[in-house]
Amino acid sequence: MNAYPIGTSAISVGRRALDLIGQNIANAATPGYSRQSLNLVNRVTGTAGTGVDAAYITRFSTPAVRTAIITANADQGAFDTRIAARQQIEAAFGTSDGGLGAQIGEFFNQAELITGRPEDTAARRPLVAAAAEIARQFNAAAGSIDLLRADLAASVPRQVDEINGLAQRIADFNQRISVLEKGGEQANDLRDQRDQLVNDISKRIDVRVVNQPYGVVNVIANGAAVVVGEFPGAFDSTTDGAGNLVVTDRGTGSPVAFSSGTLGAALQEHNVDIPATRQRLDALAGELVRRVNAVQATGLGLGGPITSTTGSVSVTSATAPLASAGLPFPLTAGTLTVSVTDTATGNRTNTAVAIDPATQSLTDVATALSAVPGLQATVDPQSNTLTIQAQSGFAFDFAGRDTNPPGGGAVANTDTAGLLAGLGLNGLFSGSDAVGIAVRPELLADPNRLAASRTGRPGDGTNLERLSAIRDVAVFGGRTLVGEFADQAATVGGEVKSLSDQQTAQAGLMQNLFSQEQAVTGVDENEEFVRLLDFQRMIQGASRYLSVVNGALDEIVNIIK
Amino acid sequence: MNLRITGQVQTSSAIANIRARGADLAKFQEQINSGLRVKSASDDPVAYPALLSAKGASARLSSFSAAATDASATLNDSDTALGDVNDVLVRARQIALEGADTATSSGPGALEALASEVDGLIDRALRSANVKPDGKPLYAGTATDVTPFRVSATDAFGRPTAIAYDGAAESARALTGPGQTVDTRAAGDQLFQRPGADVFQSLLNLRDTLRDTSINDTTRSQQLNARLGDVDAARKALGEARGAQAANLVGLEATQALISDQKLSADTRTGELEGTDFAEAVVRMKEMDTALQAIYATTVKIVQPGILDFIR
Repeated sequence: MNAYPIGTSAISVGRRALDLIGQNIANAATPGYSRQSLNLVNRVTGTAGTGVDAAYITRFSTPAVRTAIITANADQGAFDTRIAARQQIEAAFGTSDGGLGAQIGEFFNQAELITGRPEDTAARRPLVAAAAEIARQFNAAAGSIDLLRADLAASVPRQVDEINGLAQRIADFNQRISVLEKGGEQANDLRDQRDQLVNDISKRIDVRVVNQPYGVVNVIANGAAVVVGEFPGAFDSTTDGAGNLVVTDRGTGSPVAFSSGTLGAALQEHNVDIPATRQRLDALAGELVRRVNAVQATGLGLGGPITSTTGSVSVTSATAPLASAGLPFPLTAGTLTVSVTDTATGNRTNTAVAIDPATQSLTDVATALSAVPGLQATVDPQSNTLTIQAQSGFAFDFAGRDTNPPGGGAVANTDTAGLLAGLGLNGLFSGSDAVGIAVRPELLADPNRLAASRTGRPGDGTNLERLSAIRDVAVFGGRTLVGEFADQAATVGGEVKSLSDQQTAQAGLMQNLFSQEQAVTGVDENEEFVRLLDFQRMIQGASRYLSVVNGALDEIVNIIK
Repeated sequence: MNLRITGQVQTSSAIANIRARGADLAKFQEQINSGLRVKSASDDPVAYPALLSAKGASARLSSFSAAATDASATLNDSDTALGDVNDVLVRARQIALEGADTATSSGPGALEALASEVDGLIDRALRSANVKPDGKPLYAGTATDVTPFRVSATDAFGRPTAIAYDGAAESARALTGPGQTVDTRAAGDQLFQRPGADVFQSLLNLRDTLRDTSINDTTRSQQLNARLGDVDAARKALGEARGAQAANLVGLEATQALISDQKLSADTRTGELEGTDFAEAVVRMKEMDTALQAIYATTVKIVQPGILDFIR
């Protein structure tokens, strides 16, 4: 008689099924959990049926969708990182009202406005203040971008540590899964937890998962082994000679190029995109400094000729030719015409000093200038900058006025070599890039030093006209200074918008993939409850069956009594 | 269409849609509240360079407009001063005529009276030529830190016999447009001391002729007629200069009108590029609000009774 084994097998299998349904319901909201179901088979002993058995447990999965999700995770991580970086850069640029572009325009507006009243000190102050505001905004933008880059640099070792930690845990799970499944058990819950770790790592770097026997997976990233079976890979982050961050495979020491994920995007932004953005900003600041300084240096302030000026640009070597001395602005072979005025008599001489950056060093230039009567030029050995000093009773300028008594007429271009702007002599700005640009303190303190004229007359604003004309010069591939800023801002803004659009599309894709995966692996409580009822009935039926069988046997026994 | 829709799918979908529609709603609310559709480059990267250009053009035109206004004020002051000098010359002309007549009719006392009046006219002309309505001389050119004309020599009675020019040879000018300038403060010697049309010298000569007791009436009358010609020449030259300044003023008015039109155009362009299209924004905001409420309503349905509620 098989009645008892049949009944008890049904109760036993039913209870196991209830456990599994309970596990499914309990984990209905657990990320990464894959629903499981019990597969029943009828038990046969000999030729007779002897009840029911739980053959195996099915863990539902969708490998193709999971692969797509892992790839999409990396893209999503990359979008998140890049959009955050680009948004910060856009904020640093100040693209709203009163931002850098507007300030550059305002500087030239002020120059144009006071052309008609250059002798007015009060009117000069807003111009100098606008220059200072430009410098401040350049400094702030460069500082914010540098800070962002530093933050990204700090995030890279942290992310590498997280990846190494995740790889270690995945390897540990691989080992446990392998042991269990080699022993004939099913490690479904461990697989879920391991796959969730793979999911986490795929947000940081672009990985590929290769399935191995006994539930083990290998995780590969751009040819580098993140996890191979029970063995975790490991990465290190270092900085190369150019200041770029490099992630290397600890095993081979070779650099690993991650193309997406939060780490891949951080490396891309840190090593490529942010330096490119900074370079364009520096070029804009540098061009503004060079052009404005060239005009300022060859004009005259209200005080007329000066008695001393010190360059704000250092050379790397005072004895090396200027062309190879690390100057930010290239010089050309030409002349520098210096006017020296005898302050007692008012007599003025013009002397053209030949400049050849290919052969002359800063020291050579100082020597050549010292040969001009009334001048003394020296090189500061500490800072490698040039100082031009008038001898007692003399003053000098580079405005190119006619000599006194009148001689050969005014000199239209007194600095054909670009020496004054190149060495930062007698300019409005110091510095040569976005982080270093500043208005020279003496001009901030005394706006009358602003070179509004070329004749020295207080009502002469012709040098301001030259200054104003800079705004209309196409210097960056046909773009003006303001146009170049607008292009840079629009480029960053376009990237923010494009990345936002891609992020939105990616979120839709992720949602779609998630739905596809959930359609197979997700727990539907209603479905589980229906099955719960099914097994409830099974246990109730088996119990009733055993009760009936027991009653029948009692009746049989009662016959004997 | 997936056959199995789980709670997690419904929940994540609801969250994603609430986030997306909520962000859209906030965007349109912000556009309506601020009145601006483009507040940063990423709002419309294509329009941003044009927007920056339009705003820059508007600000630049404001600057040109202010410069043109300043220049107009200076030229108006100059016109007033030149008008006064012209009045001086008109009176000098009358005095020359009266002197020529008086020389034959009234005698030395009357001539001295006329000469004294010319002294006053010389002083008046000098004051007008040195006028500083805004604290700066109108006729020193770019040498705005000097008084342009000074008495360089006097006679025994302290009356001027020569007037020298200390100003600059170049006119001061203002920028009223890209590469466009207007002369505002003329070089005074080119206005008042042109060769053959010297205002001061014509007055000095007239006065000296009136006072000259060494010549007879006929000669004086002839010389006064010659002085009359000098005054007329000076007046004619002054009139030409005044006419040139008047032309500059007319040009400035035209420039200001043009600037005004261009600024209006730039401001209109700015408004078109950055301003909120309120009709669209309000409709879109309402659309997003409705969508959001619909999501809220359907999200509540997710947690509504399932089969669990029917199990007893």
